[in-house]
Amino acid sequence: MSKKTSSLYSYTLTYPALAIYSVFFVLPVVAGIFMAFTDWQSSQILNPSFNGLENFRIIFHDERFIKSLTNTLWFASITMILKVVFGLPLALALVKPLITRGYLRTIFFFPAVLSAVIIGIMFSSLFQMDSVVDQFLQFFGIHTGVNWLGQGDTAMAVVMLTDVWQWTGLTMIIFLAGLQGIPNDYYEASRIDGASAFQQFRLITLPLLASSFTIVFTLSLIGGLKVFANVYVLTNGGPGFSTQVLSTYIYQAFGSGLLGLSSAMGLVLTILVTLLTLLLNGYLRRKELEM
Amino acid sequence: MALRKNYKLWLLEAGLLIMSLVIIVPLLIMIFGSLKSPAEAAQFSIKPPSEWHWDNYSFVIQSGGIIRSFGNSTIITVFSLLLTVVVSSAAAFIISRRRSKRSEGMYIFFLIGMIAPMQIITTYAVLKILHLTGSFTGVILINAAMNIPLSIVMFSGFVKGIPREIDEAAAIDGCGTYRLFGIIILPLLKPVISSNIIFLSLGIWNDIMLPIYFLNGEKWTLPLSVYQFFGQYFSSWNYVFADIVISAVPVVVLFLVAQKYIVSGMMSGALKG
Repeated sequence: MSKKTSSLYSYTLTYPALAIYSVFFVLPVVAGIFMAFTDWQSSQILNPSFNGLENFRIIFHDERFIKSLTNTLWFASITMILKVVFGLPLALALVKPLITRGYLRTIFFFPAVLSAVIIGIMFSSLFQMDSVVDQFLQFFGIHTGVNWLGQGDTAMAVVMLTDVWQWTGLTMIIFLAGLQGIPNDYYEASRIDGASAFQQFRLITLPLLASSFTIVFTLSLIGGLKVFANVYVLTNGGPGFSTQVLSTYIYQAFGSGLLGLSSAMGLVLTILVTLLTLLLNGYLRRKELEM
Repeated sequence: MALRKNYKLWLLEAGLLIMSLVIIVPLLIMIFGSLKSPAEAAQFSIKPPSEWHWDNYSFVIQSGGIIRSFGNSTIITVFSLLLTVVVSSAAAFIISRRRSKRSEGMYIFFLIGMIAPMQIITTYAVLKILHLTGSFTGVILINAAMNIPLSIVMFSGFVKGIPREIDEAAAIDGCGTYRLFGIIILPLLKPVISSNIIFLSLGIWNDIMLPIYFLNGEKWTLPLSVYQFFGQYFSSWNYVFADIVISAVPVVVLFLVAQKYIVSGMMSGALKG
């Protein structure tokens, strides 16, 4: 076997993937860790010198960076929760035998195929002063007079809304797949035992959807922490720097040639994504086992 | 009882149809807006255009560089997918057929890329050193590097389901590694390759991060050209809407044609992820 194995399954076939992945992904990630501790600048791109924790001292004293860090965490957690709050009920409704079920699934999933740029511009038109949203509210007699994209807190809410609008459908699809995997006998049996609809949901549906929850939360969290296009298109971090997130702030630092500084910010983002993903996954897997 | 159930279902259905307006209305405003006069488009109402301005579209096609950026997007997406699929399936085949410390180590090495995000700044430096900034090649290689981990996980799972007897029969017929993989295994991977392509293609096609960092205006992709157009014509919403509608056409057509596969492809990608 071993001789035959080694001739029939030559490791040569793994080399192209290893080479591309090592040079264009692993190398930059590893180099990024080192460069975060240097005064690297684009004007002297091949001549960085070690400056210890200086970059981290600078960024953690920079209120704009702190703001973009907290914005990123807010964005990731709120969008993650909202996608489940909207996506799960949709999935529960769309397993029922409805006449327009196919059409509804298609419509709700559709935004997921559009580019965040398109959705960003679209929402920017919806939230102009006296635009569709205001007209809609006026119809119910509500006159806000709010400049949605002109002030920090509402602008951030609009940015979050674009993301939720785009990805709720994908969340719904993942839950639908989980729901279709639950055998109907379970519900039959519990009905005979006299379980109420709520008890069925609490004791059958939720525990058996545990792995779907893990997928949804993980995907949303990683996507949310890395958010770039929504902010870049809709507000470009403004007004002021109230909607700045890590990815857009890194892009700005890169634009001004401060490569060491932006590497340090990139490292913060990397640690954040890796740590939170592992923590969340560990927690959810434990929960899955308990169930 | 049956009647009450039915009436509940009707109510649910009506509620969902009303909710689906949240998706439909913004899209309608955009489509109608793309056919209005500038002044009428700027009112952002849901009313259909009073005069249908099809000339908005000819203006956008002539001035937006949309055709060229569509070509750029196509080149980047097609070649990124091709490269990713070929190298990942080859690696996954060997990794899942061999049961050694070395192949396990490789698998874990690739798994790191599923969690850790890329470091954009040092990636830029690597491209600069290799003289690949501003070239499609650079962006294609990075796309491949980013997507190899997930693809290897997807393909490995599938290869495990292909019986080894097939390999042995091929070996008896005188196939070496390459012919065995290229002629026998690769065609068998078709189902998983198609879900993999569907899952990755939307992400590559819609991404703006890589082109914005590594390419100049000449080589910008479709979403970026839309953003650029928006910056130029932000006061002429009719043109902006027309530009968006045209740029969404390829994805929408693909979606309508291959909706079933897209949903299942998204699913299997998400599950593996």
